[in-house]
Amino acid sequence: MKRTLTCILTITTLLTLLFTSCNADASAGLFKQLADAKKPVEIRYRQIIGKDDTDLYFLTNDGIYKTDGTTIRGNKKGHPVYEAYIDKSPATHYIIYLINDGGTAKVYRFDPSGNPDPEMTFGTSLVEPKIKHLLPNGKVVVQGKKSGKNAFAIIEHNYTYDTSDISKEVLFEDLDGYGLDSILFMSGKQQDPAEFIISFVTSGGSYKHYYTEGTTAKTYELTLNKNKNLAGFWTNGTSLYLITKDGNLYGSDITDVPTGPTHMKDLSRQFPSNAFVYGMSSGGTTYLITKTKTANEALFVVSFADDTITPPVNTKVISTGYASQMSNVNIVSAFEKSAGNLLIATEKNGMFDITITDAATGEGSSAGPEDYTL
Amino acid sequence: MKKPLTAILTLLVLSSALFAAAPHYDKGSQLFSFKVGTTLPTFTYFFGSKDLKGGLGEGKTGMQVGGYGGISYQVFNTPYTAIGGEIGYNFNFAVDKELFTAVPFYAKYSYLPLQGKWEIPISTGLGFAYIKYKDAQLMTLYTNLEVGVTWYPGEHWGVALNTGLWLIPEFNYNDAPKKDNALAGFVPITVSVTYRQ
Repeated sequence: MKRTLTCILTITTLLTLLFTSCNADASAGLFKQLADAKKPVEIRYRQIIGKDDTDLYFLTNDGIYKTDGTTIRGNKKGHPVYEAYIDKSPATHYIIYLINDGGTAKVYRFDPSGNPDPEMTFGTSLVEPKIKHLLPNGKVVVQGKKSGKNAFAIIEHNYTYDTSDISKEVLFEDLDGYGLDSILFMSGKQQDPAEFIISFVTSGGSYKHYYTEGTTAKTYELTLNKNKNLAGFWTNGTSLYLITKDGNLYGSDITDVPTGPTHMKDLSRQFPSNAFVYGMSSGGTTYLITKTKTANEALFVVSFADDTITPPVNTKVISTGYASQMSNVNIVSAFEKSAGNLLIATEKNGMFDITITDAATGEGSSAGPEDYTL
Repeated sequence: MKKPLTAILTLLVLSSALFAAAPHYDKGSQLFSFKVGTTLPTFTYFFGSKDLKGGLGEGKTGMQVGGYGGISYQVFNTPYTAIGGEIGYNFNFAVDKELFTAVPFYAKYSYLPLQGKWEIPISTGLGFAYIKYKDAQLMTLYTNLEVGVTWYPGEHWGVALNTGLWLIPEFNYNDAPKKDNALAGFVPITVSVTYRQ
């Protein structure tokens, strides 16, 4: 009897220790996460598409909408819109969107007259091209073959005339064994025809990252010495800062060819894919305002001297002011109204309107959800 | 809150004195129970911040009314007291539509001051619970105090209405969640079917 009791107690203790250690993976206390849980709003945002003179366009799980209440394109059964872009070059703006049609991604131009939306056809130097993504800046990523090898291309397209400018095509060649890992834009500036980083990965976890500069669309390969899974980046045009999913910060001077970013600090945080990373500078200090995977930490601010790529790097959790409603939300998209003024769309908790007065202290304001101005 | 609880306990003790004359059970008698019902998240107390969150919903415990099902077995060690155990499954949806689950399994000690056609079992339990919510999961301690009223229309089968208080502490040893160590309380309201022999 005594032996049986000892066995039961030993097994129970071991089980307790085993499961208690499992909670080491958790970012916050279980009951704390519960107490901080927020009611989801009805709108499930996927992307802030962009703004015309008066209204904001956004993509939700139900389709493409405009802030005046208009449904631009409701999702059709089995054909939800995955990505969208607003083309403001013509006087009557175009809404361009990507759907999955029987396993094939197709891009259409929305026709407000009620006629069937015309499918866009993209010109590329790749053989057997397949559309992979419609980027928020209107460019399209295709995968195909170049000289018999796996390759990707980023295509610039004229949606008015449905023609592609092959001379501006950006190619990523000789990528046998590589698939697309991520395409990152700066938070708040996805809608601009700006800088982005495209990453490819093999099944074995080898990465290739390419930084595409905004103005001339020149592309540079970035080589990180470790922790190669990128979560987000920010640049001021002089320096480029990268954050990996496992929380390592890198910096690089981009006035020259930025090939080997310098490791600046292990931030001791985990970051999600396409993490929110918003940069601003004040008083000689650069602040990267980020959202980590630590659910009940509102925003995590990383700071360092302007245009330096070496330590010291400081970090601080901000939970008040502009960050006061950012705990337990999953940021999916952001739109910069002006410097420090952002619309932040979340997956389940609606859209917030934040104003950052002082990134370091949290000074600023946060309105919402669904209480924003344009 | 304290006064009604004291009154109920006093009533139970008095009733035990009143009805304790004729025990129905012998040492070795057994009880098998199947229990289903609901649980009300009542409070969460955070040790670090000394913050007490009471009630259902957003800004409080963050949980909504949930459900519980369990089975128990007890054997009488005296004519009025039984020992045994219970295992169950509890769920509560959080306000964000995510699921909180708890699987308590614990040793149970019951005192039955009133026995026969009507019974009033008063139980206390001590054991463990495996709890999970989103990416957080842990095995933790569990304790409860329950009281019920059971009606036996026949010799063996009875139905009961039960309530009480569950206490589930959360002790984290990792630095990040350690500051969130807490004690959560739930009030179960259950019906059970009991077979006695």
